[in-house]
Amino acid sequence: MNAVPERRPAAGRVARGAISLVLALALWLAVLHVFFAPPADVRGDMAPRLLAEQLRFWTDPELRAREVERMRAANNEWDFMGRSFLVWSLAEIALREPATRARNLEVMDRIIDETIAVERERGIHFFLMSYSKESAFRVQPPRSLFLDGEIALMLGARRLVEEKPEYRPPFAERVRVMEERMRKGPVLCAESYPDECWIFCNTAALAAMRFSDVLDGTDHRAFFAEWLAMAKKKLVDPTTGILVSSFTLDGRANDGPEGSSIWFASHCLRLVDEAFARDQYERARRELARSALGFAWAREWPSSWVGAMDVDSGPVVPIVEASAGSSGTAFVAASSFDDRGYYDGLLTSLDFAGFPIHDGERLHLAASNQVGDAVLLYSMVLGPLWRKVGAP
Amino acid sequence: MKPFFTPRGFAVRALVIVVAFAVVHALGWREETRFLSGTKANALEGLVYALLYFSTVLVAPTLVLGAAIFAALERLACGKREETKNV
Repeated sequence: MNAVPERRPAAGRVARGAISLVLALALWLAVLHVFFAPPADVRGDMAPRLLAEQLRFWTDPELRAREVERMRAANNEWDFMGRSFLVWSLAEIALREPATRARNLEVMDRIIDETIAVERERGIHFFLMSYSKESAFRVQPPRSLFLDGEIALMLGARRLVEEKPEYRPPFAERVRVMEERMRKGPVLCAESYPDECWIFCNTAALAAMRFSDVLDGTDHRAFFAEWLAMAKKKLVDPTTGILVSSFTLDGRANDGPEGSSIWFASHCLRLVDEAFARDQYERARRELARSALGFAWAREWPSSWVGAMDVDSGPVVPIVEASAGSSGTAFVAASSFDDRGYYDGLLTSLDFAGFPIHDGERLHLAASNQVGDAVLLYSMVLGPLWRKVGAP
Repeated sequence: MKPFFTPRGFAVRALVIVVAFAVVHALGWREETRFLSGTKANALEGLVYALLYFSTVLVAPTLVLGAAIFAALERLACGKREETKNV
């Protein structure tokens, strides 16, 4: 008989406890972003710290060997892309801060020379994933536009900061070969892997051609016009209007639109057609960008497309479908298109879930790696290089 | 340990989470969260660190705030019970 009156206060206490937790959670989630908000001057505060850590990889061979070994265990491409994004970042910083020019050029040259030497001595497959050897490139001799495009952009970026006559012939040769091989493809695109073309690599190649027009007086305007007409007709996903990420040499889609490709591609396309580039960015923004409670992230696939998690998407957080690969490259596009709100939201998420490690004047993201940090650094400093070759 | 559904129960759980996180942080397991990017790492250490970190920034503050709200609600409820008894 005593059980009933004793249970009532206990049940009431549980109910009050549960209500308290729900209220507390709502309150905490509403203010959480404030504790992870980026500094007002990201370029002045975070970029130098990220750069200091990146430069350490090129002054401490043991540290670099360890990091490269870890990255190559997952993806050989990261070893290569970490170099590209760092060289482009150094070029941007040299243009922004002339006092850094001599040091940056020295590091850029070291990275470029070493990368070209490795490619020459160990072959293109050294920087590609292992499946590159499983079948033959359809256009012979085998070359990867992934390597040619980014190496050309490295050489071009270096020359745009300060001319280096020794780099002129290899740059011109890469640009010539890229155009020749892209023209051999039925959809004006060249392979990065056997019978596999990527919008990321083909738009990087177009950007390198734009560098060439400015540096060496070539004229790719007719090719750009042909390429754009073809891409709008054959490489656009009909549902979202976003360029698909990968396709065969004949233009048959392997994947649909993907954040890890389109964010960077839209940045490169600014050197070809600003209006089309912005349209692609806005479509990607609508389909892939998400934000809530002061945090922002990017999905790898639009809701109309079902994709499988892979090395490009990186891990995908269930429910919100935040993709590490897409969110990382979204920094580049958000910065390029001056989308401050989205960029700050992405930074807030990064500070919350990227596990930053501040070590004196250095900064790196524990949840990332050298290439991820280099992409982030590039997003913070990009601008002058693109403006120098005609981007608005 | 105190029963969970008391203000003190909430606060004690929050403290336990924060202490556990402090331990794995001191052990340097934060670096191992690079497994999240698919980079070679000690995934178990990284996973434990990530779980304790998110518990510390999401669950522990909720428990502390919840404890404060709960204590206030308990005082209100006690007051009402006293009033009912007096009537």
